[in-house]
Parts: sequence; structure tokens; C-alpha cells
Amino acid sequence: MKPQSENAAQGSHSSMEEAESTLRLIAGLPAPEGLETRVKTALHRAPAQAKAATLLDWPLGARRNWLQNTLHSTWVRNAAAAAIVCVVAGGSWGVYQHARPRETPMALPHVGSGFSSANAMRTPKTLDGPTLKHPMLKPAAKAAGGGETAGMAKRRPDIKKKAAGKAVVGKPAAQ
Amino acid sequence: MDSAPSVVKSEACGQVAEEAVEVLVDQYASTLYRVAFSIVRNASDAEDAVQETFLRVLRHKETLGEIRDHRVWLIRIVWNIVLDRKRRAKTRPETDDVAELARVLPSHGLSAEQRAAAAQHHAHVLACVEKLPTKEREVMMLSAFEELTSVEIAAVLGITESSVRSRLFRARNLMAELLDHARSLR
Repeated sequence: MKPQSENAAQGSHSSMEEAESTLRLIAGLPAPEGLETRVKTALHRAPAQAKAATLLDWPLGARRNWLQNTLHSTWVRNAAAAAIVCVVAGGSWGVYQHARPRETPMALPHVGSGFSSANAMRTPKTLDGPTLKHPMLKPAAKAAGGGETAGMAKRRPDIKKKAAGKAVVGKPAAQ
Repeated sequence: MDSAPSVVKSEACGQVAEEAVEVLVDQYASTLYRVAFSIVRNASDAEDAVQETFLRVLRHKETLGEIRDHRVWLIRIVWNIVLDRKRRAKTRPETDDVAELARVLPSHGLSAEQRAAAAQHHAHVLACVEKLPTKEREVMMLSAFEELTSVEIAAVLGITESSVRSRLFRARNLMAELLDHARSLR
């Protein structure tokens, strides 16, 4: 007994063969009779425009027969060349007339003493030093000015004593 | 007139080119028709495509001498024409394919029922082919033409021969999966 996977593989193989045979059958279908004749007739019947790869067919295509000889004559070609030359020359002359001439360069007197730094001051970049977490106190100076707070006196009792001493010493002088 | 000899010469060249195109029609019209029919699956559309192919050849008749392999060149032209037409046209229902195949496919010794069943089977296979990705489908359809080698298929599609082989391998695997899936649904 064959395993199931083998059966499946055989089944897909046979279905694939059937598919390929279908494609081959369609690819091998004979062409209808008289195809070549019909194609040749169609080629003969095709208008001249369809046979020739031409660009810008319109509007000359409609009057092809009338214009064909005219366009091939020499004087028409010369006239066309002359017209092109006239258009190009006229255009360039117009451009030349409308274009402004460049202003003449003018020399300006140089004011100043030549080289100057334009009052620029060089500030050297200093290194970043250590920063203090708390601002440094100047107890003596602040106490003399009478600017010490009560909270500060509480925290620093020695300052309080010194301030009191100064006041005592100063009293008789005031008297 | 000074332009008369050049006109005569160009007419003579045109005549020669038209004769050369007629020779190509005799040689390759049936091959081109089969290629076109395998894509459009409609006899009149396929014939139109063949005619348009030769009209294009006639338009570029001055390049005929530069072509190395006329057969591959013509197949490439008709291939592009039918693909372009198919892209433009709306998708046809599968019933159209069945009717056309029943009319066209050989039916020696088959009853009407058998013929209808065969046409339905072929239409189902072709519907599965249509489900394949474009690249794989194109290679698979061209590989059905026994007269085309893998090198020629590569030339028609403008790819390398190794790409043809790998695409064909993928197409076969996908096709087997699609057919098995369809069979399991039945």
C-alpha cells in the first residue's frame, strides 16, 4: 500500500501533466485555412500611411499627392532654410537688444587704516571649574552691616556672640 | 526632374521589402496565429493580431536586414500586441472560453457530451493558468510551444535563460498546487 503523501505527489504530477497537455493542445492548434492569403490581402489594402512610419503626418497626409512634388523641389527647401535662418537671426537680435549691458565696475576709496580687527575682542575660553553647591558666606562683613538674619544667627551661634560683643563695645562710645 | 530617380529607387526598395514581408507571412503566419490564440483564445482576435504584426513589420521594413532571427522577432512582436490587447480588453467570462474551446479543439470520435466535458476541463485548466503570477504564466504559456527553446523564450521575453528555467519551475509548482486545491474543493 502506498503512503498518502506519495499518492498526493502522484496526483499533483498527473494533474500537472494534464495541464501541460492542455497548453500543448492549444499551442498546437492549426491556423485557419487561408490565413496567409487574408494577411497578404490586408497588407495590400492597408493605406500608405499605415505602411510608412511617418511622424507629423497631419496635415500634410490629407494632401499628400498634391504636396508631394512641391515639397521635394529644391526652391521650397531653400525657402524653408532661409525662413529658419531669418527666425533664428531675428530672435537672437531681439534678445541682444533687450538685454541690458552690465554696469561698469567702479573703484571705491578704501576708508580706514588698512588692516583692522573691527574692534573685535578676543575672549579666551576658560576651563569650567568646580561649582559650589551652597554660596560661600562672608559672616564678618554681613554681621558688620547688620544684615544677618535670625535664622542665620541660630545656625551660627559664634557669629551671634561676636555681633553682641561689638554692640556692647560700641555702646559707651555712642554715649 | 531631379527627384525622379530617387522616387523610383525608393519605390523599388519598397517593392522588395513588401515581397520580403510576404515571404515572412508564408513562413510564420501560422506560428504567430497559434501564439496569439494561446493568449486571446479567440480566432478572429488572433488573426487581427497577426495582421497587425505584419503591418508593423511593413512599417519598419528598412530594419528587416538587421534582424538575425526573424521567427523570434516576429513572435516577440505578436506577443507584445496580444498582451497589450488583453490588458486593454475587459476580462472575459470563463463560459466564453468553454464555448470557443469546444468549437476549436479537435473532437475526433467524441460524443457531444464528451466534447463539452473536455472543453470544460481545458477551460478550467486555463482558468488556473490565469491565476498564476504574470511572469510565471508567460513562461509557462510559451513553453507549451514545442518549437521554442528556452533560449528563444528568453529572447521573446527579454530575460536570461536561467530566469526562464527558474520561472518555469515556480510556475509548475504553483500550477500543481492550484489544480490540487481545485480538485479537493470538488
